[in-house]
Amino acid sequence: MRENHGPSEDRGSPLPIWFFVGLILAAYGAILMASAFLVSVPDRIVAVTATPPGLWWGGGMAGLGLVFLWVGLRGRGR
Amino acid sequence: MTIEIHAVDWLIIALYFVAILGIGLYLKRFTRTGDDFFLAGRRNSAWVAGLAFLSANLGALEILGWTGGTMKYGMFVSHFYWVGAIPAMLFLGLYMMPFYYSSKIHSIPGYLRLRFDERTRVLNAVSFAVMTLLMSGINLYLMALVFKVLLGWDWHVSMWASAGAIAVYITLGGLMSAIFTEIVQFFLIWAGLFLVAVLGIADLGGPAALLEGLPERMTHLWSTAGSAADNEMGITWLGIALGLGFVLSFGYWTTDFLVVQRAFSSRDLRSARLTPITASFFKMALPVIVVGAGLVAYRLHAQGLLPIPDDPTRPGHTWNDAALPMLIARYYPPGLVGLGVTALLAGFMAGQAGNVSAFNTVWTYDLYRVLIRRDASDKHFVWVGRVTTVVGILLSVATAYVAMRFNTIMDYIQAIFSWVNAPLFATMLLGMFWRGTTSAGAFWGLVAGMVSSFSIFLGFRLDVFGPGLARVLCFSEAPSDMARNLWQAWWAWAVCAGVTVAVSLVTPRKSDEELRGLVKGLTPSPDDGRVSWLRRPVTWAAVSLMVLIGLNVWFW
Repeated sequence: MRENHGPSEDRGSPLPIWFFVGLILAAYGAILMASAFLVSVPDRIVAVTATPPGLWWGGGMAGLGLVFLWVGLRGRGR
Repeated sequence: MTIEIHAVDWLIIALYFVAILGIGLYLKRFTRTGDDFFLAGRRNSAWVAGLAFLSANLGALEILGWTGGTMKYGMFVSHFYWVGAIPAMLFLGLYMMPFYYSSKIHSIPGYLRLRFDERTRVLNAVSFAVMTLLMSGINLYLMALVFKVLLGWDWHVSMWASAGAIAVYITLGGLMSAIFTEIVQFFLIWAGLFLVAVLGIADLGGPAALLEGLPERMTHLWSTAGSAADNEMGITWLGIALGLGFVLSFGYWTTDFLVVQRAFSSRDLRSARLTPITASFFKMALPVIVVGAGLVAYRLHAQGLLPIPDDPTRPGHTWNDAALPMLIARYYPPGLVGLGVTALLAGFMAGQAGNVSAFNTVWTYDLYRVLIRRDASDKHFVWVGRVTTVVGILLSVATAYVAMRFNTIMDYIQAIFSWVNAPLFATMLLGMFWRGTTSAGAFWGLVAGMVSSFSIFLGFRLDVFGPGLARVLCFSEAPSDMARNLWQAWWAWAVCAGVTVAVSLVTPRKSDEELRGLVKGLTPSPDDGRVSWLRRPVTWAAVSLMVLIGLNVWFW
């Protein structure tokens, strides 16, 4: 005898996970970019990368976040 | 020695809690039936299930532990990500998933019930539930320990805040909540920790300069595995291949419900088969963070440039597990420190959420429904699942407090995987691929495997086993803890397999009709003929295997 599964009525689907991933990455990216202008970077980090890492890393995260937001919204209702 | 946290770091940490609680609240409306709560509605794509499959395994403990392990064992740690994971993941996807998915089970013990009998199911369900709760509690304790020592956070606040958040979002959204937050965690780990390895390697002059500055025995995978004396792990290629590559790896990746549950949430069999295959590519990439950061930490620490505190549980010993947070403190400015800490926090919490969601399913379907209330509505079981989530979290917190007082308990729990998963893999393998395996054979084989594993562990732990027995069991008179764990797993598997076969030969087996859909030869093979070769699991498994071989040859 196979196990009984409960009936799965159709209540629509949640937003794709990619939407939430995009939201979080975009928000964190924006905060990191802002912090790069507002907070001073210690010398030992400047020795490795002249540009504050929060700026380019945060920019990359925000860009990736926007892509995921687009993918998530595009996949809505599918 | 604590890492300084600025206001912007607190903002990032707070935003994480808002996000995961918001996701739980949002998903509650989609979580009503048993399938919704325990199997995330069985509607996930291979990408979603695959990333969750990997993330359920990718806890912060693993990342911190193996980064620290790299300082001790060098590139040998990559074995745990490559030969110690990928073949098993591909085997699960190609050969075992059709039996699991097609039998419409809720859990691994559920398969044991169908293939064998109720007592084998209950034995495995009880051992899995105990293992899961203990692991969850230890995870919580170590999280609080890391944050207490490195960030100065209060023990109780760390434990109760994270446990409370997990209880809320799992109770609301069940497995779907766990999967959503695991995928968020996956991206946060890459966003928050990959950069530290990149900055460290750049600081040391690039990958070639990093490797040139390391001892020969730390930079190879196989060329130093001919003799146990040639590598820091103290193990030969045979131990790696049999103990890690075969038993421990296959035992964990193909039978541990914590990870396999994510594949069960897939929308169809092809997606379920692709789940571990998709995950395998990301698993192979992880040494970039773990081994990369570990090697950087080794070099910097040797030069006196990276202070690492003493182990709070073993005074006088360097706490290698703190290497990654100390690299964060060295290379990250304010803001990125918050992201790095959030990545670790997410890793701890997702690991614990994975344990709790697996526990509530096994308790509800394999223990409560079998031993307490067999006939009840689907709604009732969802309610039991929600209550079990809260109870499971409370038991985890209680375990964490016990571990805080008696931290030697952790030594026992580290070995628990060998007690539960290694013999179970023998049972599964024989059950799926040999019709002659009987219910009695499976049960007594599992009991014998678990007892033998526990006995070997205690024998070494209590110094009952001398060098002579160590040479027989581990092929070395003074095996390291790691080598002992790997060989212990091998013997547990071998004893379980031997006893299962012996008992099966003299006890009655089930009829072919009862085994239809559960055993090789009585189950239709998945038909991928209608999908293009680019979408077939076997295609991507072949690509994954080629990448694995290439990496091993590259770092031979």
